[in-house]
Amino acid sequence: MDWNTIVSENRQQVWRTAYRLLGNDADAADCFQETFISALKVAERQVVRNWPALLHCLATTRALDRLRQRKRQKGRFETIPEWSAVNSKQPEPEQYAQAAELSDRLRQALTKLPEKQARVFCLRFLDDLSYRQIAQQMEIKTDAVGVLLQRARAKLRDLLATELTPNEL
Amino acid sequence: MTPNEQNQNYDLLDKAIQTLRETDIPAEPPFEAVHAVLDAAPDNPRFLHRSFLSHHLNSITKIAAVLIFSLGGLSLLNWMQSLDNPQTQYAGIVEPLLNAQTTTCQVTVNTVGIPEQTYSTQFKAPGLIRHSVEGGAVQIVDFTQGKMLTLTPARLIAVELEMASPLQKQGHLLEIKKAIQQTLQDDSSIVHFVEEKKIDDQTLLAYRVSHSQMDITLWADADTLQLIQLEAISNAMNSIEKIVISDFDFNAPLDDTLFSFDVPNYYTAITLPDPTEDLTAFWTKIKNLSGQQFTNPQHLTTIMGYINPFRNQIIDPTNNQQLFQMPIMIPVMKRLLFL
Repeated sequence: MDWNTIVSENRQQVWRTAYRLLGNDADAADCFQETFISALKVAERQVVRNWPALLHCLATTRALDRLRQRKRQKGRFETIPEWSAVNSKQPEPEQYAQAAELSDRLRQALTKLPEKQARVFCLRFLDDLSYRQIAQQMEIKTDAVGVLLQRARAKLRDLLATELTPNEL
Repeated sequence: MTPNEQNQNYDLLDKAIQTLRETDIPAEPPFEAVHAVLDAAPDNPRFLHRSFLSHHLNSITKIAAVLIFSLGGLSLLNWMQSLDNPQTQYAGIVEPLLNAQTTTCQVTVNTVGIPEQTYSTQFKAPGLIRHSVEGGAVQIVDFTQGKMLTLTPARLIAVELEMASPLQKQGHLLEIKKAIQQTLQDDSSIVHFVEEKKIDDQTLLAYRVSHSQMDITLWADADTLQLIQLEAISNAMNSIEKIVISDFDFNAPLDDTLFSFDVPNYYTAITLPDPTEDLTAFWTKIKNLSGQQFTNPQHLTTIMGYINPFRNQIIDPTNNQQLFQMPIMIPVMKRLLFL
């Protein structure tokens, strides 16, 4: 399999993972590039048996890293207006704003979880991976997946219940 | 925390997960990002295979494997050369398209977020094109002279534009022709035979070739190798665009009057300013012409019609960036016009 095929077959999955967690074009595009470049470095060191799984895992990790980086920078991010902003299929502005705020709160809450918990949570609830697939990707036991998920959910519930300051949103 | 509050938090978390899962995600990553990633690989990306060998075979086995693969490869090469070569067949199929002095065809364009468009195209070498939508607008473009005339019969409006420089973006037919020409000149372009299909007693053969900006599939008659249909999936814009061209007629005589830039009787002539010289004036005129606020997909299709031939010559005056992509162009235009 050559590099072009690997990129071509996995680009949409990596893009979706990055965009869903980051919520804007610019960050998602950076994360997209970082993911593939990290995968290249991994391939230089070891045999890659499952490219989709590696890229999936790297995309989630890089996107979470970037979210944490954003949190450290604190300021609110200005998202670049997209095509969707002029598409008539958009929901009502108020509904859209509420959904966007809730998504942002969850993104911010994810940055406060320990790294493993955040990754497990994303792979399970955003990407629909099974416990077994998550265990394989993260090289942990299936039982541990359940424990990490439970802790992640409990902490996220508490974090979402807490009113976040505007800087944290 | 009371059980009731806990339940509310449960609901909130599930709702937040649901919202995040439903994030509106553009179908494709930006073209530039994909290219950056493709370019990031070493020139010889065979390390992907080398690393496998280095982990699993000792050096003697490696030498044996290389010998076996080399001999196998040579035999395979000889065998393939004895068959009909898809590259040769592809070159023969596209030859009339590339060398015709005139071409008439039907073009259908599917772009994400914009209604499907079908129009007839008439091309006359070296750079005259006439696009017409049945019962709708007609656009005549001279790419070498940088001239455009768009006629809207329903409103009896003739929109004229003359640019200082020749037009760079040359419409779907000519851009696909250019890409095909490049695939013929590029030794690394590989043509794949895709399939054979029977439609209405006609046997069709499909071949596919990849170009840096689009994947091209062409269908040809199995007996005559005459080109029947071309499909190009382009990601040159932010969103994926699929173009299907069919009903080809090569070298049929086309009257010069079809490409006349004279404004017909009873039409009101409107002259657009050159967007490379005064973008704000140009966009103001476009807005006044349509009287809308750039929010409706159908309306955007009309705007795209006006600006398509010179889309990649439109530059944001504030930062000198090319506004080739529609999603970037619209917000900048709104800002320029204080909308």
